[in-house]
Amino acid sequence: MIGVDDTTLSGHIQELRRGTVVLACLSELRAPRYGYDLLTTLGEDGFTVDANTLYPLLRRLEKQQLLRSEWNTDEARPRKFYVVTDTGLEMLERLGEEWTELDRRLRRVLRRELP
Amino acid sequence: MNDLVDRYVHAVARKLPADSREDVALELRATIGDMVDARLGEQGDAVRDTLIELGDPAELAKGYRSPQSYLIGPGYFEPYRSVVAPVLGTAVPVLFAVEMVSGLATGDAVLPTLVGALASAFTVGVQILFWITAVFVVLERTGTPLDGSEGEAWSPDDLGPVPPVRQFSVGELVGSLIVLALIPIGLLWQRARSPFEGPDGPIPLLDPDLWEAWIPALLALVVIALGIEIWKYVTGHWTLPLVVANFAVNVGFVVWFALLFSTQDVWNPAYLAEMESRTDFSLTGSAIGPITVAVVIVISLWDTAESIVKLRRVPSAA
Repeated sequence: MIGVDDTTLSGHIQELRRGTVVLACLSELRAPRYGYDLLTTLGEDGFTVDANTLYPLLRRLEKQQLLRSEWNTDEARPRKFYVVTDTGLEMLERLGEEWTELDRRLRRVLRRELP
Repeated sequence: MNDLVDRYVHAVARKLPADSREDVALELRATIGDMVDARLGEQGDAVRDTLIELGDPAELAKGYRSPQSYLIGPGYFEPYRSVVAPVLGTAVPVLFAVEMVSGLATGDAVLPTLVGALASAFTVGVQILFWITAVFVVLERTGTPLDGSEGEAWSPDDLGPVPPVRQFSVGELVGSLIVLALIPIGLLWQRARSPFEGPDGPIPLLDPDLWEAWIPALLALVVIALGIEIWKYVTGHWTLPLVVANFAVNVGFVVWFALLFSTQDVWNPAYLAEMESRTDFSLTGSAIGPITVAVVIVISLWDTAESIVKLRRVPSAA
């Protein structure tokens, strides 16, 4: 990669990835999870997110009523877990369809022979 | 160890709006707890490493805040700038000039007048800046549309005409007028104020005989120059007649100054006498004459050259 500048590249990659994290979160949270567990799972799946990106994101999704949160006070220290709401499930489905569609269209464009 | 965590959580929380503060603080503690637990058994200070991973509390807080809060946001900043710049750029210099002129014309000393004028100009400038900013902050907060047409679709009919090439700004005009006005003001001033007192009042610097013909000639030049400045502004760009007239006036000034200093007694003999007897300075044989003439020549050359260059830039009339 001769001309490509690393900062520009990572900027664009970040743009590409940004929406996918939301999709991944909504999907993973079909089962209730602690924030930190979600972080590690996403990492294992290849979605490397920073803690300081994920937590504000979870809060935003909760504000949008796509997620629900609760505190578990059973253990030594209180821990918060998130789970997807019904609205969130619907959103997940719609976003999933959109993703498939986007993928299809983009493949077509990328495959197209240009004069 | 808990102290570090407390301090971190506090550092984040205090940057958050009040309603989410407690909530985020609680969650953050839980998160840090989880992250520290996950580090058990690793080398090093788990708490410290966790906090480092989380990063600058200010940045983290920023992530939690809902969309960026600006004093004057992107939508309003351009209009804001386009209002502040011309208003400040015109009002402050004009005010400064007015204060200077009125101070000097009433015979006040230069330095206090200058200081006073600067102080006034600064104060007024700050006021203007503040109030314009305040208005725009309110606009930003209330989301008021700027052009009065709320939600109407744009159409090509809304396009304004292309303005003719404008080479002279109001600021330039005002500046030139002020500089030219300084000449008669200066003449009056040197009559009204002098370091030396004579039997008839303050002894003026310039030879009184000059008032017979030379100074009226200068004043005539000033009036013509004023006229040309106004003509320049009204036309909006350089034209050949304007360039020629401007050149003629410049020549006039150069000739006037050159002839004055080479053939006339410029300084008032009474003034010179007082100066020589009371101080160690003398104006006779000083370099003021040649220097003044040189300065006038340089300015005239520059002005003429600029006028020619700008004339060539004017697109030919449609």
